[in-house]
Amino acid sequence: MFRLFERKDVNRQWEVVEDTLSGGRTTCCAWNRRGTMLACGTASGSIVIWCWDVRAVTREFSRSDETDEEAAATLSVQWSGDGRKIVAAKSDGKVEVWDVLEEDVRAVLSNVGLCSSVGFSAARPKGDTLVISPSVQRAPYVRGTSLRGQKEMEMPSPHDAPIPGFAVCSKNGKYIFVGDAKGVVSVVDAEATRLVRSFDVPNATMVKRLELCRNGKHLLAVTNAQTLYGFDVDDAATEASEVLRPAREYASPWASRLQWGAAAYPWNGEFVYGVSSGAAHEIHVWDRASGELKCVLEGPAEAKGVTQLAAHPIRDCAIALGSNGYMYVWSRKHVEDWSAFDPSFVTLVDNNEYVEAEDEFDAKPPGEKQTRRGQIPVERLDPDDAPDLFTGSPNDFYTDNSDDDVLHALPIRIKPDPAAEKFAAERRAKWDRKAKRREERKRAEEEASKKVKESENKDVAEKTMETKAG
Amino acid sequence: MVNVLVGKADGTCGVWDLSIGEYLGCFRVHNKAITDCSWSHDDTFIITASDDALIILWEASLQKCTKILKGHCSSVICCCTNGSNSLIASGSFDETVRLWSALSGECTAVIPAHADPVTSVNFAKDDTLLFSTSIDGSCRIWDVNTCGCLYTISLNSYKHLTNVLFSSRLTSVLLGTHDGLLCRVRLRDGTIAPILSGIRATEILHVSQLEPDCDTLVVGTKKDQFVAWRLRDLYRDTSEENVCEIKFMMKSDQCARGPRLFDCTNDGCMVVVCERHEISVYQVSHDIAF
Repeated sequence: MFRLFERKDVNRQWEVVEDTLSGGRTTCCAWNRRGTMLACGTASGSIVIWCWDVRAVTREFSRSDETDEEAAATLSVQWSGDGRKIVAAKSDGKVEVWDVLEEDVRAVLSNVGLCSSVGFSAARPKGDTLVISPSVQRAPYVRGTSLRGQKEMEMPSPHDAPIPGFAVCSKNGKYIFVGDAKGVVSVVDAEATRLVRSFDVPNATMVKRLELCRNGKHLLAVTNAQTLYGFDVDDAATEASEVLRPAREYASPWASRLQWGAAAYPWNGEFVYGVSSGAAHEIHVWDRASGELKCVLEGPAEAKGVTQLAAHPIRDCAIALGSNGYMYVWSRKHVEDWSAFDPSFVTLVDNNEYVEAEDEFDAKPPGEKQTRRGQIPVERLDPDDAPDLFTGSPNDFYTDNSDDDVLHALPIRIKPDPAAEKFAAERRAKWDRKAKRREERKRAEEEASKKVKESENKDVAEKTMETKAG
Repeated sequence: MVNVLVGKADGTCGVWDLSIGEYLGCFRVHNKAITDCSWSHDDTFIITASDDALIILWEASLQKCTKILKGHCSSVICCCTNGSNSLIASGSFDETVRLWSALSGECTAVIPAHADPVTSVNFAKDDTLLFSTSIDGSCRIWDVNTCGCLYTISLNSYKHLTNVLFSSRLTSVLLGTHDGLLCRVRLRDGTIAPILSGIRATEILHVSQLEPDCDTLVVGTKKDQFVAWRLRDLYRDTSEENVCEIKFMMKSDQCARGPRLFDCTNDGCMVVVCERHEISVYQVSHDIAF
């Protein structure tokens, strides 16, 4: 919704490292659908969930039946489409499905083997089907999350034998894109499990990762070639062979001779960000449409390289996961929009010569209406023209508004602050003391007034006695 | 379980259970009057803001004080939580709006919001925007993430703005002013349409709406009147028959799940508007002074 008010010409490219977050040695991270929560898998096997509004850890999931020595590191985490489940692939070959609200592991699939990535299929946002990309021996396959009786549908590959690869669902879930270990990206129809088309990525003999843009329109292949290869996706295409179209390569003369390690699109797909797999924290920025290299961003060197780039689904920021386990938040520089404070402010770039009008400082004759700067016209509302103010369906700012049941935030658990209780107790003690003192003072006054009265009575009595006697 | 929170001028805060009609208890930590109190959106905690520049978070069930938010320089006038209850926004007499994290109790941002005391703050439905109104006659829209100002609405003559509500589609904003004018501002083009002017020439103190079915507005005015308006009829100019004054009615046993609207009058009546559009007034026997 904030985008309604943003200036149209804002530069959305990431520019600075805004923050460094650390919550255990993080190995992988994933944003939920609206970017309100960040799930991080750590090297100790637990999953830490950050609340993005306050940049604080809200939950930590860890298996209670595992001791610290047995716990395997988490290799990849993904949210389900409704935000209620997280699937994590561990380094001991197990895949865990966690229920987020109940903080309990729903299913542990133990015979999966080492995987490069496990995700939920986008076709069923309830989180029932998993798309598993094993690292060795098998091709990516789709299976359900329950433990028994599961049919595993392997993705057909254009080669003779099944080859391990990296599978990503298209945004509407109808197609699955597979980049395999021979450098070929194929499009598979998800329902029919039928190979539609495949493309050879030029100069690549292995596809490491596939990154889908948040708007579902672009796909990036990170391979062992010297360039990043981008595709355009049109998953609503009637012709299945038109779903994926090769677009362009992204090359950088400043990249070290090592390969590309991680890449990402921002939420609107305007740029392509790539990190090479060396020890340098350098992000190369290309304009996606033209393929031209715009700049190279440098981050803190202590990161010793970036293992993953995760772009925020809505905002112009991203997390660069360093090899040292810290998360670096990249975002654009915030430029204060002064004309938002008062519509008549104009941001000047150069000095402008201001020519005074002749009658600038003349006193205006009374009766002439003074128009204030930035005055907004007041209109009389025509009852027939009045659209519903409060009723009516809300604007669809988000595409998931139509999906019921999407979880955007976890219930807040506030830990009572002992200092607060102490403060309250101190105040109450102070009030009690004051009340007691007041009571004592009142009592003292009463006694004093009683005494005075008694002495008065005594005087009166003596006087009467005297008069009587006298 | 219908609970109503009442903040009093002597710094205590009381909770009433409406379904039984019982007084559940009161908490007292503030030493000056309470200016605003509200429930979190999932009803797990309570925030009270007071003239002693503190905002206190209470546990709804245990009446234990969970966090004290210190930081404002003078009295806090209004406070509210965002939809996911992680952030608390507060506007104060020192002309700033502060954002606090409910988890840690620290101030995450200080926004130098206005040139005069801030009278009300409100979050937009998806928690990305924050609205604030102030006595200097402007209503500003802030981006919660960057705390930058996105938009300013100022009425043409500097009326004190007391309250802000927004439509669910975020196409317009309802502003209540201090001299009895309720304005609707269409956000796209900034046009202002006065909806309701001069409810018997009284001052609007508080505007609330029934949340789930938002077509009734209840406006609390300084002269101890509570006027309920049906929004559809608001567009016709001040038709008298739609004004229903609520003074004393019988206690209704049919309170639905949770009233989102309550207001207090000066003579000890508590007006509660329930979800089923029933407006009931409870005569409160305890001494309530506002």
